[in-house]
Amino acid sequence: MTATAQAPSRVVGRRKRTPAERGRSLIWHLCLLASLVVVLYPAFWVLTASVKPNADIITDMSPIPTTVTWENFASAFDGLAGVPLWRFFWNSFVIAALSVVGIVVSCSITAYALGRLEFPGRKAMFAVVIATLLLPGQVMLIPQYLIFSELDVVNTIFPLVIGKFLALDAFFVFMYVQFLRGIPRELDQAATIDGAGHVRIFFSIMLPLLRPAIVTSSIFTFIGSWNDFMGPLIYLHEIEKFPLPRLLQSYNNTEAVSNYGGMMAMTLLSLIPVVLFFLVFQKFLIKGIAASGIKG
Amino acid sequence: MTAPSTAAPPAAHEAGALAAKAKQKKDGKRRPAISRRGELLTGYTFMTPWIIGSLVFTVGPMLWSLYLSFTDYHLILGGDLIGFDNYTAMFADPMFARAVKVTLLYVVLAVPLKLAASLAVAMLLTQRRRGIGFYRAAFYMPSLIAMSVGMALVWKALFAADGPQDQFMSLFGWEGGGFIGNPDVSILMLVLLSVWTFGAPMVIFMAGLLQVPGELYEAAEVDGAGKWHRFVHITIPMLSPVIFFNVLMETVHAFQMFGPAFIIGGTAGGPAWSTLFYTVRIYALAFVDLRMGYASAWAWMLVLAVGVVTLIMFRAAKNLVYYAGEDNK
Amino acid sequence: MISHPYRLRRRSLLTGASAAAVLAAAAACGDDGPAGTADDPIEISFEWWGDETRADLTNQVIALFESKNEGIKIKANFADFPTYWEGLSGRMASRDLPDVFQMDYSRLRQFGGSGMLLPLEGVVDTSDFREGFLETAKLDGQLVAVPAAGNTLGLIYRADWFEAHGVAAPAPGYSWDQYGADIATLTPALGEGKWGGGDWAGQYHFMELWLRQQGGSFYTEDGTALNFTKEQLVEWWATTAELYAAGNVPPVETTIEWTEGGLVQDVLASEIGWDNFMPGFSPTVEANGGTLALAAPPSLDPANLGLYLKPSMQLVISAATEQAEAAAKFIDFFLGDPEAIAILGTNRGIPATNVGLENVELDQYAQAVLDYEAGVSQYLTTPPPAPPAATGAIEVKFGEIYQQVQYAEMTGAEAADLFFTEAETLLASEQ
Repeated sequence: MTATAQAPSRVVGRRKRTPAERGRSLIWHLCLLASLVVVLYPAFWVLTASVKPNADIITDMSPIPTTVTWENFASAFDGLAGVPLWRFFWNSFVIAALSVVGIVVSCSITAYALGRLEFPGRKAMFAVVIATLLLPGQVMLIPQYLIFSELDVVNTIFPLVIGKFLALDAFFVFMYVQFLRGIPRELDQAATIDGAGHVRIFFSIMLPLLRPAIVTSSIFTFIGSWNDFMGPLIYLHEIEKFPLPRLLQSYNNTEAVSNYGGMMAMTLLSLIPVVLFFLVFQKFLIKGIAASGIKG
Repeated sequence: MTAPSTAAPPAAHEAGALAAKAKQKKDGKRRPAISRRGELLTGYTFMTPWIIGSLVFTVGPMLWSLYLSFTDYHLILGGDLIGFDNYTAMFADPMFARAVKVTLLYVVLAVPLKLAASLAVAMLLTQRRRGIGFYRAAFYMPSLIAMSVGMALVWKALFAADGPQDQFMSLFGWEGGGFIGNPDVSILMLVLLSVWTFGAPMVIFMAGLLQVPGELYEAAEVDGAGKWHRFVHITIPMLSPVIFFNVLMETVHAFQMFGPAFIIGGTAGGPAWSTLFYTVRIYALAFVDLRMGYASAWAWMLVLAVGVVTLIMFRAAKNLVYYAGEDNK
Repeated sequence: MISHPYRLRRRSLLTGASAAAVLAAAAACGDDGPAGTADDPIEISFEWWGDETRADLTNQVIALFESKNEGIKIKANFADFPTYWEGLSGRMASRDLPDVFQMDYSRLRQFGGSGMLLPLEGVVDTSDFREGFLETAKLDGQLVAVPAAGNTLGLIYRADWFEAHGVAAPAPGYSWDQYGADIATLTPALGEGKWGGGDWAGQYHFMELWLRQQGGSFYTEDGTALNFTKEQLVEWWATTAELYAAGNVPPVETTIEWTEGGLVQDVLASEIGWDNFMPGFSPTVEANGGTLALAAPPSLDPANLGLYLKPSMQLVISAATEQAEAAAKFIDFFLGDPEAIAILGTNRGIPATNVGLENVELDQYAQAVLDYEAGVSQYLTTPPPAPPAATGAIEVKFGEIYQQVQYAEMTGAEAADLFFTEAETLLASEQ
């Protein structure tokens, strides 16, 4: 954890630790710990439900299981209808990885044009980006479905990732643009004088400086794609191609009736990559959100 | 919209230093070298993916769905132009009224509760104390997993009859059973699921709180202002751009709630349509009833509604949001 | 680090071109011919709805088929019932249907009516179907499906509980009122958390049964409109009102959470339902110490039970298939191969072919279903024509709107008004 690595608070009033302050510190910790218990209860609940026997899961409120069984995990690893669990993990991973690559590549070049260059139509295009940021995606759902079915790519991951490669995720374009605007102009001017073209400025100056934005958007994209349900629901129907959210939904509808514990074990396993990802990168993530979000 | 200066990301510092060096080297020259034509060419080259993508997958589909909304297009049978019939039918459709009611109720409950929770915790977490990194990470965690199908299924179990919520509330004399079977309160499950993800706006609030100059609080303390007074007269105004951003994004997202609602309530928004979210209904109209034209009209009403709400918010923000540096209030 | 954009672009053009060449070559290879050999098999897709148990059995049969037909590979896929139809409807638009897929009578017109299904006369073997089964596989006289299994409605009840509490075993001619009275006797006798029967009013198929008992039908003959009045619907929904108010049938707050039927959960003493569900329920009920039995459903008229033999599942071939021959071969195998039948058992219902019936291993429960069907055969009447395309959506609405009545969010009359509006809109949208 990065307990001490955070930027120092500028909230006023801390000089020496008097007994009164120590008392307040204790209360502060108690307050937060108490809220944490409530906030993390559902997460703990999954953890323990996954090792409880089927009959106990719903009705046994206690977070400590009375009987521990590993059978749930065994049945979770079996996956669905002969397709093993790792296969669904792999599917999720492929979609997530492609999405990350797509977002980073497309958003950085788009943002460079929108944030650093001057050309007719730029303002209008940026306005469109901002508008799509607020636009409910549902309005495009039906025509997009019809287009993808015309292109004969339904039941492939193409519809799920193509938008990422075409910089259609307005939030990230916006974030990159904001970030680029924070980089001093003198930098590219100096490079320009050295005779560098835009392509070179982009690759050798902007891209390295964009690193925090790249890391943040990668984490967000990974998590978002890992959790995405509506896209796979509409575009994928073959079990072997399902990412985890679709597996969980199918498992719930076709198997969980008799095997609730397996369901819970599967749920838990499906959440692990996201949580691990987060724990590794959380320092960047929180910094990144702070940097991007605030510039409304 | 201008923004207050933010916690500058480390790279920007780096960049600043580099830039200073560059300036030293080539002092006094302005920015002439790349021709306008160069920028035009590069600009459009770099924008090509986005331009193609927007035309094919955003702007095109929007216009198409606008057109569809004036037809009785059926997924298999096709359709004809029928003028405004879909729009007039919507207002006579009890399902429309229900979906609007459910969605508005959700927005009105979830957004303020979530933001209040996130601001409160953010204030606790911007004090300088030990273990703060751990708390920040721990409170953020639900935001990662809450919108997953897995968590929606867990939520169903937590709010089942005789499940944890039912047992817990029974201790206080609750007789309503599990939320999941009770249409009077089932929406609260989804509100709570949303509030549970308060970590995301919390982080943004934290960033904002760290920007509030400490001198302001010191001065107020000297003047004898109480905690509440400081909160209302310093924290809130100084934080207002961040609050605005969070309210806007959370509201827009709340209008589009889908995944967990679909898993918990199904396409019928059970029990008894109490979780019939607007987007769930659009999905059912399009993919169960196959009435694509009518579903498109629904989708366009959502666009209009979100547009109007956004507009109102921007209007209100003009008077309510305080931007440091714009004037000396 | 100087990059050379032009060179880069040329290279990517070249890779693009070579990729295209590879693709073209691959496509050419794939076009070798439709014959299908062990080295270059043809692939057909087969999809169905069901659960994992059914998936395991089906996959075994597919493996068997592939071992006996070396040139054909089957790509199998399944989903739960609602998801299955949501997916297929979307794919119908892009004509991206599986080569062979499982069909429900309620959807036959939606798919067959828009020319999505291959006419099967002379394509598949139709010589061995049990009597009366092929009738419901026809759409306007043309055979577009074959039945995999059949079923009819019945009353599935706990014989042990009926007996223990002095309720006579239901016999044909059993009236709705008598059934209600029996439930009212059973529920208090069974004690807290158990009920004498379920609320039957939310099921479209049960109302159809009730209408047929009065000589009516759910849809008009041409399938363009509902064939009953709002008053009749209000009356139907009121058939369980008293039982519901008195708590003699389980409240909706409870049933909405059920992921399994009440019989299996050991909390219901009886339920109207499809007779072929009984063998599935029985082992669990037996494990709970009970015995299930089948009787004719309640009726209004002892001479007219309203029953008909319905295909519980059908198999169809997509009209867009390029492998009609292989697809037909698979269907014939699935329904007619003794080994395949032995593996599938009664999972999809009692087989619809004679050879199926001879080769399936019938446990006592499946035998009970056959006995029941033989017992009511004199009451089986002509099936209604395949229902209109919108019937799937209408069926969903029927249950959804009745739920409003159960929750007392609407009166029966309000709900009936709403149902008529919705159903008429849906019927009109299909025309």
